[in-house]
Amino acid sequence: MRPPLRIVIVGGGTAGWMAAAAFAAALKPELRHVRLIESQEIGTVGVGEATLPHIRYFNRRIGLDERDLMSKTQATFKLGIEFVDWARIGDRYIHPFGDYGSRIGGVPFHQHWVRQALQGNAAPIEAYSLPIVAAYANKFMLPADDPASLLSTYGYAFQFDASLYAKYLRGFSERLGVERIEGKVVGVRQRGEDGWVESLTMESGATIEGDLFIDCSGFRGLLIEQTLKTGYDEWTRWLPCDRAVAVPSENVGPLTPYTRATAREAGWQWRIPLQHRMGNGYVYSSNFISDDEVAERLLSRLEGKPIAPPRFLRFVTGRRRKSWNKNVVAVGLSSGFLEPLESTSIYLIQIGITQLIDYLTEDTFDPRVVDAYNRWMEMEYDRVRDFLILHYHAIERDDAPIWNYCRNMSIPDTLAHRLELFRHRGRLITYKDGLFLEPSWVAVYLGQRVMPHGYDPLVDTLDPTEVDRHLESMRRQIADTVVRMPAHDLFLSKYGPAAPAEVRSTGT
Amino acid sequence: MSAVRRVIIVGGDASAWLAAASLKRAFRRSQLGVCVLDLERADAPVARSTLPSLRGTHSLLGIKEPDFIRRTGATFKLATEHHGWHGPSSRYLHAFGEIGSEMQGIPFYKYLLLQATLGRREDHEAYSLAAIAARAGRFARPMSQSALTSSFTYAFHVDESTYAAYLREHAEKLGVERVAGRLDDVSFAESGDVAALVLQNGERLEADLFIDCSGRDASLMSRVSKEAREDWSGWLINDRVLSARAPALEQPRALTETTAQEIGWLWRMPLAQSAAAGFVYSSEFLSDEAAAEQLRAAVAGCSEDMVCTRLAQGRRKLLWDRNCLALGDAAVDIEPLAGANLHIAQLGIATLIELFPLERTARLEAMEYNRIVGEYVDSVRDFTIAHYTLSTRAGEYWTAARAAALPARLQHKLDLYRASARINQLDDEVFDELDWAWVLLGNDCLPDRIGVHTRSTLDLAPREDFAVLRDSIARLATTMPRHLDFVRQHG
Repeated sequence: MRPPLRIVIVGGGTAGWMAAAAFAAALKPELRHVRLIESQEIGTVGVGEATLPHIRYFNRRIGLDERDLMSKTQATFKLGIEFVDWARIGDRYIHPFGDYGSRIGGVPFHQHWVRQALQGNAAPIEAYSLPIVAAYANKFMLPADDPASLLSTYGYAFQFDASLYAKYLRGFSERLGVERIEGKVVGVRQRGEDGWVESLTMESGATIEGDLFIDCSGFRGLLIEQTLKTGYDEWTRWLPCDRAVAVPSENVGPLTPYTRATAREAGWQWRIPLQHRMGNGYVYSSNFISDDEVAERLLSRLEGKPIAPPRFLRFVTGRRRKSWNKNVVAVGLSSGFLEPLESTSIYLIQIGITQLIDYLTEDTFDPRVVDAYNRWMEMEYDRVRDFLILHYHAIERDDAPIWNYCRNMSIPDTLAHRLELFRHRGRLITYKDGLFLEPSWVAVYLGQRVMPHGYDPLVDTLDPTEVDRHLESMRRQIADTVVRMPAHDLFLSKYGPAAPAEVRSTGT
Repeated sequence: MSAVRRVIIVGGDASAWLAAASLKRAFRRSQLGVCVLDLERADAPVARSTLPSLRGTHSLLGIKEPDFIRRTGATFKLATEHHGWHGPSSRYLHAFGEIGSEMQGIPFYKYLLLQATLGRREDHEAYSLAAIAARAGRFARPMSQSALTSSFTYAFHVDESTYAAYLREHAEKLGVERVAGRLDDVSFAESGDVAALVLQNGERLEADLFIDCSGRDASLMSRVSKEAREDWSGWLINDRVLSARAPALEQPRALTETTAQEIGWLWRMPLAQSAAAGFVYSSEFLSDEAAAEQLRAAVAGCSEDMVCTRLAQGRRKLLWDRNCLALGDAAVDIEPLAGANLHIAQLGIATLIELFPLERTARLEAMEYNRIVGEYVDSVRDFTIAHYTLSTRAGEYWTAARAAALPARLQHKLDLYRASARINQLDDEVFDELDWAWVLLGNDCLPDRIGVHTRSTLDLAPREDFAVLRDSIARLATTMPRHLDFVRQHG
């Protein structure tokens, strides 16, 4: 029997504890020895409050109880993301976690919709999405398992306090035998012949040896960059924002089952409702606005009273050249940063960890495996990147320099081809792996006024009157179903309400 | 909506008629005109081995399977059996079916691989109903009644000329026109697009879109597209296909057989009333006369009128250029080892229907078509090459067949598998993880290590229920009808 794999995780934010929990749950105790180093003196970023439906698979895979988790993390349900004032001031659309309509005659739904739209008689596309109609009505219930049911056409995610999620995972991990080490890393010892990391030296003088080091130290990349000098590809030319300011505020009005991103004069503002407070922030480019001005603008636009002073963050959008280098794997911000416009931060952590667990072999880190893992992560980051750029580029507003820049910038070829094909005939490019399926692309294209000039000729092989009738009945069914759904607040109060004491202590 | 009102397809083989029937059927309400210029010559082999996707294509066309079987003399295919790729007595199967069933989300073959790394190698074929039935000469269609009876799928062996005639009849019933003739010249519009085909009798055939199914000469496409071909002969060194009809086998099994030779490989496949055989080899190592002699010796009673065709393994860089597409051998020339030649044409047709141009100038559609179909085609190339790469057969020819550095994407796939037992799939691949598992395990290619998660999840203690599973597969196979009886009764 081999000795267990010694895994050392550096950093205890969301990424660190997600990694710890996943390793502890996925591998038998005799195969792994997991330790996590964190220091109470180093703050975590912890702005990631909005998630994607994938997180439920992560939670299920490691064996978390969803209701318990929601009540311990002040979580609300999330059916999508609302984008306000993007293509033009006054525009709004939701990117839903679910389908628009369903195929008719083997032809994708949106192709039929485009035919109607070009003829000038289409209902808003939102009316064909159950999660959008439900979101705007502040309704929520769990999706159905029966694929024939309309209630199976959507998924959901959470809006939660990421630091509470990390705390929750810490408890879970420690019960599974993960050892937490308090303190700061002051030295890294590398093996002479190949530079692999052998051990970390703590401020206390203790030495922590390991076989595999997971760098969850955040932007600075303690091991992946400061020690191994892996390098970083910057994407600021396409995604110009480089700072954010965050401030929580009191909740006012009902809890919306969606996150909102509003385009502003130098970036965009987020609004994420949790049970006990509203998360707010402004992601911006320091080239276009000053820190003081941005904070002032954000505070003036809050719906409720602020409950903490604004916190500033700096970042460089891009990707680490290799997520896995020697025996160090960067997970989370140390492996790259993409702004939270599409709530992808926790997804990228999750995929980095679950893929690592699937790729990892027993006793050695074979370069063939390392290369394959890095290619996979590169694909994940690049696909998210292109999707984000679409939001910045498909813009008509010309009221601010940042939007003029983004509208005119040159975009990656992969995205340019995609956009051209959609404009020409509503054609979507699909892929097997990586984030964002067809409805996501449809939502953002149409929501940002990328309207196809033509549609799939197969549409005209069907009887239009029959198709129109079919479309109308889809809309009616959705509207009727949503009427019968419970209010989000009400459903939440039965499913995963936060313990009252916690609401009091962390709220107003 | 579409400005393409008329399509001309050049050629008369199965792929041409499949394209004609499919386009006509898909756009029947838009009154798309579809015409086949039948060149009345074929350089395709006597018979084809296909993939299970053909069943879906047939059902889209409204072709009923019993009718198709009865009228074309086709037989069923559950597997390909490869002989001699590791020395004379070796054999392995690539079956169209599952190997065991998933354990805690992990494919069963990984369990077998894990056991193998611990020195307990088992025969994976014993866990596949498709494999055991194919070996025993049995066949029945899958049924949804149990996990086992629904654990496989199947394809066909088709007689090329009978099948082409059958598809032609079907296409003509759908309203496809047919003109017989020889292509003399191509008339171009000012834009550079093809305006019309000029036949030897002087007739002009005009259309908006042209499809070249004329076989490996690509008599139309080669005049339209000046883009060079991608040459695969460094990886796939065979340049000849010899094909012949053979007498019916007494108890034909529902599989295609390949047999590695000192140079190249032979195939045999059953048809309802006869059989087909062929030989793929390299003329650099073997003369055409010697090859014909070898095929005659190996296949008793095979027909004297063998068809010998030159292979130029590779593909057109642009499968769709201007208003002209190449399909079938005109697009991709590859030895039929993976049985995917017709499948490549089917994919081309399906993708064309999805991307049917809105305007005569279809730059974007062509670009997207070339991207997607190109990916699929390259995946077939890789899968074919893998049969050679993984073979350990000795000899000058076999060494040469394995000499070239592999395409990067194939190298990545094999590297990762050998290092961790993980089989990664790109977005658009014809053969899926299970197909690769069949070939990797069949070639006894075992990974150096297994992922730690697999090892952590799977219980390796001896399991009696697996012996029970093997027994029930063996028993179930014997209750299935003999392949030929099934063809006769259910065809």
